[in-house]
Amino acid sequence: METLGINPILLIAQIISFLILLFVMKRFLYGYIQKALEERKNSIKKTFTDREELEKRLTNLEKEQDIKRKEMAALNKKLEAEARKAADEVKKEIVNKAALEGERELIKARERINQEVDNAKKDLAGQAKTLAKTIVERVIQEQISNPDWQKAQLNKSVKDLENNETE
Amino acid sequence: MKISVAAEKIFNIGPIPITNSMLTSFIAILILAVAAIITGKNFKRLPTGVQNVLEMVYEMFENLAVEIIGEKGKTYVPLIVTFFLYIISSNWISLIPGVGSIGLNTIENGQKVFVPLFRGGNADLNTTLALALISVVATQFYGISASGIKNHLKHFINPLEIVSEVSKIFSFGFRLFGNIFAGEVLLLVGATILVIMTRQSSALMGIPGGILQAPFYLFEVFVGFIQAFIFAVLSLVFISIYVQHKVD
Repeated sequence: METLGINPILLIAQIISFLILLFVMKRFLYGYIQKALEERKNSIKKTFTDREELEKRLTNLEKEQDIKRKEMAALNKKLEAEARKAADEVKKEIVNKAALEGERELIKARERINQEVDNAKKDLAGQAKTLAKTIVERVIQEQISNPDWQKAQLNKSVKDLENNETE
Repeated sequence: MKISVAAEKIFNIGPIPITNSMLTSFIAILILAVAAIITGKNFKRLPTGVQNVLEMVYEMFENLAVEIIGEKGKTYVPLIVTFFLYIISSNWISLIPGVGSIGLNTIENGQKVFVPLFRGGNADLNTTLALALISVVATQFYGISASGIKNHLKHFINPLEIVSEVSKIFSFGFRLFGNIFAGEVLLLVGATILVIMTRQSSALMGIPGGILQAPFYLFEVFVGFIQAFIFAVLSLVFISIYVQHKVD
C-alpha cells in the first residue's frame, strides 16, 4: 500500500474534493445547461411541429385551390356556353331584324321605284303628247301651207263629193 | 531521474499530507469550479466559447444516457459529466510544460532527490481509487433508488457478484492510474532519451526538444481524452445495469 502511495486520508480528501466539485457543477452549471438543452429541444420540436402543421395546411389549401380551380373552370365553361348561346340568339335576332328591315326597305324601294317609274311614264307620256302635238302641229302647218297638198286635198275632196253625188 | 509510483508529499495541512498529485487535482477542480460559476453566471441562450464546449460535452453524455437507459438516464448525467470533465482536465493539465519538471531538490536518506511540484492528478492511485469508489458507490445508490433495496440485493445472491463489484473499484482505479502514469513515464523517459541523443548525435543538434517530443504529447492528449471517456461511459453502463435490469 505504501509503495503504491495509497493513503486513506488522501483517498477521503480526494473523494470530498470531487464531491465538492460535483456540487458546484450541479449548483452553478448543470441546471442552466439542462434548461437550455430542454428549451432548445422543445423549440426544435415546435419548429418541426409547426412546419408539419404548415405543410398540412398548405396541402389542404392546395387541395381547396384545386377544387376551386376545377369549379371555376366548370363555371367558366358553363358561362361561356351560356354566353355563346345568348350571343347566338342575339345574332339570330339581329339577322332576323336585319332581314325584316331589309325586306321592308326593299318594299319601300320597290314602291319608290314604281312611283318613280309611274312618274317617269307620266312625264314621258306628257312629253310624248306635247311632242306629238308639236309634230302634228308642225306637220299640219307644213301640209296646210303646202299648195300641192292643198290642191291634192281639194281634188280628193271634190272627188269624194262627186262620188257621193253619183251614189 | 527517479520514477516513483506514489505521489510525493510537498507539505502538510494539519494531519493531511498534500502531495504533488493532489495539488494538480485541486488546480483542476479550481479551474472547473471557476469555469462553471462564471459560465453559469453569464449563461447565454446562444452559447459561445467555454459554454459551448460544456454544453456539447453535457449533451453528448445526455444523448448517450438516453440511448442506454432511456429518458430516466438524464438523472445520472451530472455525475458522469463531472467524471469526464475532472479526469480529462486533470490529464491534460499534467501535459502542461512544467508539470513534472518544476520542483524542489530535497534530501532523502542522505541523497539529493528531485521532487516535482506538480504531477498528473490521475498519476496517483488515491485519486483514481477515489473516483472508482465514488463510481461504484453511486452505481449501488442509483440501483437502490431505482428498484428498492430488496430488489437490488437480489443482484448479490451469488457472492461472486460482490467480488465483481469490489473488483470494479480496482479495475477502474488501476486502469486510469496505469494509463496516465505510464504516459507520464513515457514522456519523462522520452525527454531524457532525447536529451542524451541530442548531446551525442550531431544530426539532432539544434532541433528543439519540444518538436521531437510533440508526437508523444499528441498521443498523451489522445490517451487523456480516451481514458476520461472510458471511465465516464463505463460508469454509465454499470449504472444502467442496476437501474434497468430488475432481478425476479
